Amino acid sequence: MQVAQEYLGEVDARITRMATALPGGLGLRGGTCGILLAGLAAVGLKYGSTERRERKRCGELELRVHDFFEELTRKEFGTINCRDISGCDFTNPEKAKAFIGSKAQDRCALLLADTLRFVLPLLDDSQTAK
Amino acid sequence: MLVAPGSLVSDFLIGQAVVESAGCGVCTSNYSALSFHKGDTMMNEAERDLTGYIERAKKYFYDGYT
Repeated sequence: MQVAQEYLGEVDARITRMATALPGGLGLRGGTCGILLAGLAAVGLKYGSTERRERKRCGELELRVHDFFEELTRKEFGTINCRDISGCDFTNPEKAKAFIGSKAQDRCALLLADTLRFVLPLLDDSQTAK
Repeated sequence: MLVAPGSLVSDFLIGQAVVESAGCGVCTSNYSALSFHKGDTMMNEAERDLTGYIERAKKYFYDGYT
């Protein structure tokens, strides 16, 4: 979320703080990968609306992000869930500590990079105009 | 104005709900109608250099924001 905001040219620390709930599969519980969630949130930041009727474009782009990430992780992990991808139960302090510096962490960093390569261009109006 | 940023960001929750809600005819139909272009990433990256953003994201991932 921090980088998405930088890409959009305006950083709001509140959004960065809000996004701290995402890593570890939502509150460290191992659910949907925080990389995917942040990618979706970045799209919401750019195209979301406080008016429900103005959310069509945002919804379409979110589906593209979700499909991309699912495709990215399906073959190797078979899931979009943090615990399956990272192999770590982040609610366990010892396991969370062991994750730091591990190959699994590097794999997550690659996923992050791949996802950003897809998501950031979507934040450019010229790339998403139809 | 204080509400706006959170509301915009939280739109992704609706998107996630749409994707995760199996069995909804409307959602399924919208889902299948969407085109997913695997080539998007490479094409767009060529138009705008993302290297700095991605490297920064990795740094944040490993070391935090400060």
